[in-house]
Amino acid sequence: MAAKQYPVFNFEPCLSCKICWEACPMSCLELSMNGKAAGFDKWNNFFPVVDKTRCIGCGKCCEACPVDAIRMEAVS
Amino acid sequence: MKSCMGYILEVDLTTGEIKRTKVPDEVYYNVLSGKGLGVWYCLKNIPADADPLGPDNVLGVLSGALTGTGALLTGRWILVGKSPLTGGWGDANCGGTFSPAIKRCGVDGIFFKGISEKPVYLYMDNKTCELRDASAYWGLDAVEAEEKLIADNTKNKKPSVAVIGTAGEKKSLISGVCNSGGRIAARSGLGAVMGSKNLKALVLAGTKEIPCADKDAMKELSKALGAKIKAASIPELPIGRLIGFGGYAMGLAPYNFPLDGSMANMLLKTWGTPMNTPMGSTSGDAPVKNWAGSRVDIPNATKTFDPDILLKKEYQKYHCYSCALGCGGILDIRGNKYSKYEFTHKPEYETLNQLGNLLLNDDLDSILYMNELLNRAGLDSISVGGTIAYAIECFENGLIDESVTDGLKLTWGNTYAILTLCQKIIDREGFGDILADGTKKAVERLGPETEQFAINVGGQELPAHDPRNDTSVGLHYMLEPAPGKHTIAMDLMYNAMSLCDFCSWAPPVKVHHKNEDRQATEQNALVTKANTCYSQLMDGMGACLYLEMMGVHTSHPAEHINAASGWNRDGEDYMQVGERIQTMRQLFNVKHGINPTDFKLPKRVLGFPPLRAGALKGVQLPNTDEQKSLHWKAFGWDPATGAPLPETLDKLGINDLLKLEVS
Repeated sequence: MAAKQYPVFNFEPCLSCKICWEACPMSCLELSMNGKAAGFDKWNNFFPVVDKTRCIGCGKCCEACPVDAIRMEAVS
Repeated sequence: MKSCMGYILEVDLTTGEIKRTKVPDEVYYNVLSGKGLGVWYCLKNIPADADPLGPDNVLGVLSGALTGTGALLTGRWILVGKSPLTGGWGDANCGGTFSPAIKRCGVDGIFFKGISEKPVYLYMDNKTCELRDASAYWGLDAVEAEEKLIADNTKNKKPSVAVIGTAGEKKSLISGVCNSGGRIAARSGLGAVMGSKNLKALVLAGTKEIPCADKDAMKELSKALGAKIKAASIPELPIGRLIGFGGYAMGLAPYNFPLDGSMANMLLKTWGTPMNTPMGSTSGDAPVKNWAGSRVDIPNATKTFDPDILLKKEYQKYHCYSCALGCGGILDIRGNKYSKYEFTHKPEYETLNQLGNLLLNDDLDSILYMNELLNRAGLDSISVGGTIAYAIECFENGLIDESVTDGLKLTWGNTYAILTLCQKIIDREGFGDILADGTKKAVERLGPETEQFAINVGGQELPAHDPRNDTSVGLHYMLEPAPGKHTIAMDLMYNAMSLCDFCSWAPPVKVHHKNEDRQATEQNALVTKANTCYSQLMDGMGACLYLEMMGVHTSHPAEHINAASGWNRDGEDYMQVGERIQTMRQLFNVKHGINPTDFKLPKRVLGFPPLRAGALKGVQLPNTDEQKSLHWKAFGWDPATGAPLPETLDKLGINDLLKLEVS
C-alpha cells in the first residue's frame, strides 16, 4: 500500500493567499501559523498548517497553489 | 468560456422552484462573468415597473470570470439587482472568501426572484441544492448567523456563507450582504432586497473543479505578480505620522503626474486603506464636517488616525481569497472603552473617515466599536456616516430638535450621541427608524428644508473622496448608473494605471496642472471613459480594485484573461467588453425610468459656496454638466440625456446579446 501523502509548505514563496485553504475538500488546512512569530515574515501574515487527521492526501492544495509553494510528501 | 462553469442557478423563492440553466457562450465572450453576466440577466428579467422590494426584483450573486483559476487578486463577488435606494441599477462588490464557493457549486451566479413565505437559506453542495428553513438564524447578526450556519451545515468541507444581518431583515435601504466575519457588499441597499425576499443566507459547500484553459501560463503570471507584490515593502518603522505630511504635500502640489501603480502596494501591505485617513485629512481628499469643513476643523486628525495605532492592534493580517497583498487585518480591541467585542475587521478608510472626520468625531475607540456593530448589522458605514452627518447638521441649524431626536443632542463630535444614534439606526428604533433608509428618505420624513444637508447623488450617500480634490471621482459619482460610488475611477488612479499602453484611444498621462482636469474637454472625456471601461472589465473578471490600481505594467488583464479562457484577444477588445457592460448598466437605468441628468452633485460638494480654509480653499467645479455630456458623447450615448443611442447598441451587439436565452 502506498504511503499516505501530506502537503509540505515552502513558506518563502507563499503569499498567504488562501487558494490552498479554499481548494481543500476536507477543510483541513488552516492559516494558523504566525509567520512573524515563526521568524520568516516581517508582518503578521498567517501561513497554512495541515491537520493530518483529516487530510486525505488528494493533493488539491498542491495543484491549486499559484506559486508552487506546496509539494506532496509521503509519510510512511 | 473555459474559466467559467457555463451555468447559473435560477431560484424562485415564491414557488420554491430551482433550475440550473446553461448560459450561451456568446454572453461570456461579450461581457465575461461577474457584473457583466449580472447586468445581462437583470436587463432581461427585471420588469421596468418592478418594485425593488417586491417579488419581481431579482437579486443576483456572482463570481468573476477569473475567480478560482489561480489568478491573483480575483476573489471578488458581486451583488446585482434593482436598487431600492436609488430606484435604478444597483450593484455591490465584496472581498472575503465567498466568491470561489459559487463556482465550486457548478455555477457562475445565482439569481433569486419572488418572495419566500418564511425565512429561508439556500444550501448547495455537489449533490444537494435546496431551500432550508432559516427561522433559527433570523434575528441573528451577520457574524453570529454565519458561525451557526457553518456549524450546522459542515459535512467535510466547511461551507462559505453570504448572509444578511438584522438591518437587511428590517429592510434598511442602506443595508448590504456580509461574508467572512463581517466583510460587506454594502452599497445600493441590496441587503434590503435580500431581506425583502425572506432570504437570510447562501450556504455553499461545493468542491467542483474550477477550470482554467492554460494553467501553466496562469501560474507563470501569478508567480511574477506574486514576486512583485512580495518585494514591495517599506521599513518597519513608526512612520505612520509622516503620512499626514505626505498629504500636505499632495494638497499643495498644483500638478498631477504619472505615478507607478505598484507604489500603493507598499502602503496597503503595511497599513491597509486606513493609511489614507491622515493623508486625506491633510490633502483635502477626506470630506470633513458633512463636506462643509476642512483640515482646520480637524487639527488632531493625523494623530487620531495615525495608522500605526491600528497596526499595533493588528493581531493578524487578513487576505481575501487569492490576494497576495493582505490589506485587511483582524484587530484585537480588548480594552476598547465601548466594545463588548474582542476582535474586529480592521476598519477601512471609508469607515474611519465617515464616522470620524465627517462627524468631527475624534474618538477612535468609538469608531472601532461602530465598525463592528455595523459589520454585524450588515449596514453600509458610508451611508450611516453620511446620514448621521446630515442629522447633526439639521440639529445644529435648528431644523430638528430633541423632541425629534429622542432627546439626543446631535452636535458635532458628540461621541455619545453618535454612538447612541448608530445603535438606534441598527435597531430602527425611534429617530433611528427615520434615518435607517438614508438621507433621501430622511428628507421625505423630516421636510424639504433639510435637503440642503443631504449629501447624496441619486439617493446614495457620497464616499470619502472629495471631488474638489479629484475631479474624476466627482464626475463618476454622477456618471455611475449606481451613483455615488468611489471605486470606479479617480484622476489619481488614471495617473497610475498606464491605460494608454492597454488600448490606443486612452490618453497618455503627462504632467499637467490640476485645473486641466476640471475643464470640459474631449480629452478628459476619454480619460473618464477609459477609466470606466477598465473598471467594468475588472468587475467582469472578479478582480480587486487594488489589482486595477497596480496598472497594466504590473498586471496585464489581457494576458490573464487569455490564459484563463484560451482566447487570444487584446486590450482594445477587452476595453470594448467594459464599454459594453457599462452601456448595458446605463440602459437598465433608462429602461427603469431613471433620468441620468438627475444625478447631480450637491452644490456644496461642487464648491458653491467654496471652502474658506484648508487644501481645497476656493476650489470650484463649474463645468461638471458639460463634462458629463462629453463623457456620454464619448460613449456614443445622447449627450443631452445620457441614453445609449440605437447605433451604439448595434455597434456593441447589445440588442443581439439580449435576444439570447438561458436553456
